Amino acid sequence: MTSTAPAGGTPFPGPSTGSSSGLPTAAATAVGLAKTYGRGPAAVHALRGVDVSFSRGAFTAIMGPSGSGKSTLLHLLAGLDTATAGRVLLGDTDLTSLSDTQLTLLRRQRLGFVFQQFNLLPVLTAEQNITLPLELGGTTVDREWMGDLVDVLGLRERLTHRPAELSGGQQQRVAIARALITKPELVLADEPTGNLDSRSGAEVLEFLRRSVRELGRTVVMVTHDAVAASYADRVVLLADGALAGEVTDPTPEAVTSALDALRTSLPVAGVTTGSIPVVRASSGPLGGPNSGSAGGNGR
Amino acid sequence: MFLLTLRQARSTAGRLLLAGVAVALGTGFVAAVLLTSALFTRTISDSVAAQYAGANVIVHANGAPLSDADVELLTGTPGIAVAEGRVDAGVQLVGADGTEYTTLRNTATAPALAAADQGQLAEGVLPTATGQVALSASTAKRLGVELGGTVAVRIYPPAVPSSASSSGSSSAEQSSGDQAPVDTGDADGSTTQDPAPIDTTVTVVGLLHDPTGVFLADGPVTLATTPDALRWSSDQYGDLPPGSPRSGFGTVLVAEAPGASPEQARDAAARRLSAAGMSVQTGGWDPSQGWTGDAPPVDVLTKEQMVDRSVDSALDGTHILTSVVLAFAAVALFVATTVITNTFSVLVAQRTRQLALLRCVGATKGQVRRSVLLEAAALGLVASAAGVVAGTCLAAIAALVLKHFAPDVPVPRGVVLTPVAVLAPLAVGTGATVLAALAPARAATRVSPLAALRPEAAPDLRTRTSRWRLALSLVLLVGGGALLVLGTLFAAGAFSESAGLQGTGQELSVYGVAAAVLGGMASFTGVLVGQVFLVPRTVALVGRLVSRAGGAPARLAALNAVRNPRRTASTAGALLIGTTLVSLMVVGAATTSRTLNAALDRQYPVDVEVSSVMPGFGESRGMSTAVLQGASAAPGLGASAPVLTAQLAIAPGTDGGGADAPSGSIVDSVAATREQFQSVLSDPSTVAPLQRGTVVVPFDIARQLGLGDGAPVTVRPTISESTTSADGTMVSGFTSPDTKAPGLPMRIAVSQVGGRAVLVVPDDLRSLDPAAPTGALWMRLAPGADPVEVSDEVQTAVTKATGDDSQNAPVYVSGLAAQRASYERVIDTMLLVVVGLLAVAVIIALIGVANTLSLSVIERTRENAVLRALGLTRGQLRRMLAFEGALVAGVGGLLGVVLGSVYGWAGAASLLGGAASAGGSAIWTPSLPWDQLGLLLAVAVVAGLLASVLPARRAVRTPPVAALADQ
Repeated sequence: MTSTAPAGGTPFPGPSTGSSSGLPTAAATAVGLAKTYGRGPAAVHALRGVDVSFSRGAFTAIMGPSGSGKSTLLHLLAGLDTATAGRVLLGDTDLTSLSDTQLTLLRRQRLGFVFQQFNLLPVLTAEQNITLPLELGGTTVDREWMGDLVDVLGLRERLTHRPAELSGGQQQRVAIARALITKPELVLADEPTGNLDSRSGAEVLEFLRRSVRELGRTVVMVTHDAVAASYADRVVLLADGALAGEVTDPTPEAVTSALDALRTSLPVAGVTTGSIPVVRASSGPLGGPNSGSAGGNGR
Repeated sequence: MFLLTLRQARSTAGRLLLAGVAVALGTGFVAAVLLTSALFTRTISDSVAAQYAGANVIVHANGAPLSDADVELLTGTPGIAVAEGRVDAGVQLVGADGTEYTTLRNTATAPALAAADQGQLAEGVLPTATGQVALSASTAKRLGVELGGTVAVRIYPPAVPSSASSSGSSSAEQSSGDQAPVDTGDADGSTTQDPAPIDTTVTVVGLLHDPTGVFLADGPVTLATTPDALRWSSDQYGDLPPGSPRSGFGTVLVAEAPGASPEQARDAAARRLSAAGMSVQTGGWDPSQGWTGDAPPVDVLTKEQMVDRSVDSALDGTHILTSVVLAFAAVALFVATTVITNTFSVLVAQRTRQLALLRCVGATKGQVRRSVLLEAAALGLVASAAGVVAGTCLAAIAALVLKHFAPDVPVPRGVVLTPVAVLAPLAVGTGATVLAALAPARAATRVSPLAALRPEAAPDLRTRTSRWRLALSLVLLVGGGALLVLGTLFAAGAFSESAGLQGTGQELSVYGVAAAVLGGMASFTGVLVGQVFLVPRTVALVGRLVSRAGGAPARLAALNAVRNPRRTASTAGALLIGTTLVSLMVVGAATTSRTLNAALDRQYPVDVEVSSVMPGFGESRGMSTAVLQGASAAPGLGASAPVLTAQLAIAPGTDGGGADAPSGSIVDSVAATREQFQSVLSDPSTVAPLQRGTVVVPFDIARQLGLGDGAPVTVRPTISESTTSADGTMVSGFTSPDTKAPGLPMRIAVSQVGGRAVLVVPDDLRSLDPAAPTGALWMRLAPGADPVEVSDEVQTAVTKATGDDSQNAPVYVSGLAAQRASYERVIDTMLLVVVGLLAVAVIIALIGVANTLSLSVIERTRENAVLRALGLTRGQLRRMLAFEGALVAGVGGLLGVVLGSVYGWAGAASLLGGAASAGGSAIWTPSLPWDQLGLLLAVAVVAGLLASVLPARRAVRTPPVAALADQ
């Protein structure tokens, strides 16, 4: 577990999406996104006009203190909640203009989810859980893709087990397979390691990163763990419902100091705060510079 | 703790409401059954009892009529307030437009007994003086007489002097009258001269409602004062021992003295009469049992006994009605208790977490338990009270329905609340609720306080299904099932006949029914105990089969449906009970009505019968050609067959006569060709064996005679003698086998044909009695014809045809089909109402389904939100829940329909088989109404779908973000 598999690892037939083609188009974009709960004096402004873009083929972490609006942002990106103002674009699709059914179908076909609580259906086996999104849409399972995912995630022996018979880490791996089975444009992960021990957490993060590097997926992850965030290509920081800066090619130390800076409202070297979000295509070399810290995390 | 309970109850008011509705419906059901069963009993007994007015004891003469002296004897008896004799006879009326034979009754004078007469009066007044009569309005119309006009009463004086001769006599079987048809007369007609009939002109002072009461099998009625009625009814009581009065009372009505119970009055009357040397019977005496001594005993019965006997004789000797009503009261209690238990378990399960929290903050186990029980008691009381009110309304509606569907039935106005009908449901509802709460309350205290702190939504109350439960269930199921089968076989007479236990058949069948009922209840309890094994497996199986068609939502629903086996079991179980009972009733009803039809076929073999009546000992006359033609031409008839009538003596064996040959029993006989009989009998197959040399004997008569199928017999004609005392006040008549005539060797064919006469072919009858007249005309309705209308048409035709020709014998029309139709309507309506009542049980069960689904939705909020996040549309979520509801409901319904069919079948077999074995070979006809059972199943499935609507609304309203936010 100490080292991530480099590009020369398991050969993947690969996704058909053209993430590696280097298209400048962002996978998802928020424009002036605001969300207010309640009204009048009791109103809570969860997001106050956020502009952020998530590059195709990149692994982005969203961080911030409790109440900073990071979960709200994820929900809005997922089309699970409606924005008070602003727009959310998935590729070219404006989520804020879609009906509930359209949003549901979009989630089914173009988005993948990984939850903190795993949220597998207890009545289904691991395999049934993985193929669930396909079955909801009535589409057939791409057996080859399924086989690849199962092998990569090491679930081959576990397919007939029910969630109750799996460890937390295994459950989360099933959840990741479920999120990837539809080859979605965007995978959203909400605190995916929150309920896992550090070893399983590292495993899960490694898989998320591999799915970006090797499978060409785009992952956006909410986390409050600096070590987890260091697996990402880029960390977006939120505070009080507004963008508070970002860290590119993060290490745990950089992320921690950036967060500390947020709390103390002091700018930190190497971190752009309060600025217009920096959009960077994360097409850098695999097995990035933060791998060292990931190894440290694994210990 | 009380305040806390109150606050808790208030905070969960919504769910309490559902439980309360279930309790209210359950108790309402009990109340409604109790009230309507009282209503049925009253309806039936009222229609029978109406004719006895205020009399609670009835003295009934089976042979010679009772005299004034007998009545005086009774009047002076302690414990008896008043006794009055009643004439049960018939009288021939002659009007401007025709003649008509009607039932003759006398008016009562004592106020306590006169109410019934008054109630019959439609117009005018009751006769109070000699020469006054009140007629049925329809009779007056046919005779062409108006209120205040006059008609003639025609009486036929006896022939003097009498001489013996072979008899050709009437055999008018009037199912209503207990008096044997008068029979005598000189067929030779040459040696004696009948005096001319005497007409007396009387004034019509009142018009009566036509008797349409179901259990009053009389035709039109003529009311007269007692002296007139006695005079006109002379010589109408058949064979009389010498010294009998020429007329008298068939019945004496007795009203008990204040403070005495009807039973005391009955016993007093019986003692007084037997002290006077009469043979007295206070139980139910059955004419077919025969008697010893000179004459059949005098019945002394309470009105209740009389009602029972009338109702039973109408339904072929069964206690079907009583059994059904009692069974339903028991069933109502059972259903109510089970449903309340189920609902309350769900309610407490939903609150387990809350209760655990209470324990967390320091509530003792006892406090938690008391809180739950207190709440249950309060809920039970309030809901039960509401249920009683609802049940009363339901019963009132049932009465309206009954009135609507069977207008002939004198349904009492409104529902009379009895203390039992109010208190019993209240006690049952409250008691059941508290009992139902006991187990969940215990479970609640067992929950560890930590359960409240666990993040999972609701702690599962699932416990491991124990081996004990399985064993108990199997024991009940197998034992009960065996008892059910054995009881059914016993009741249906499968053993009594093979074992030759003729005399005890009735007793055996009663025990059989009891055993079958017990077995049914035990095995059903077994099913309920074992439903936690049975239901989830069935649901899983059916779910797997059905979900192939429905895609992912259906598959998920099928899996979800068995997540909590116990809850699924109790949900489907509630529905299972309801559908079991409804399909039991549907199958039972179908089988019952088919079997009762068979019984009615036996009782009323033909639709309409026109028969000549022989009042007095007049010359034997058949019906005139004019009457035969007129009656046969009445509209609405499909076929008619004139039959020869005579009395014959049947002796066992082919002895060929001789002085020491047994003289044989005298039976009424009718003759027509096989084809003629077949054209008019409701069941033509019953006369298939009829041919020369064969006597077709109805089962009842064969048993009385002690003759089996194929037995050789010798048949002889009969002779009648009558003597009149010198002063003309006493008469005796006697019919005996003509032992001098050569016997005709014949064979018995025992048949299911109804009626009280044996059937032969005309050639055989003529060879025995060449003068046998055409004494009756048997008729069959055209398909679809209204029996009441046709009976009326026939009566009108007969009235017209007889004109005022004094040479014609009086002719009596009995519209058997009309009576039969009334019975059928009553039976159908009662079954309808009963099924309606049981439908309530299904509604209660559906509340259970909705309850369970809402509970599932609450528990699965997160899961459903995850599914929504993964791409389950709102429609799919709705479909998923609908499928789950339909699956659970459908399986409950399916199991219920299967079980109910088995029980219905067995029930009908034991109840009706018993009736059948008492009256003949088993005639119960199994019947599975597939369409109705299918409909029931469809209703269950649709109801399951509907039950998912509200929970689904809640589920789709929950935004999917809940799944992610709730961390």
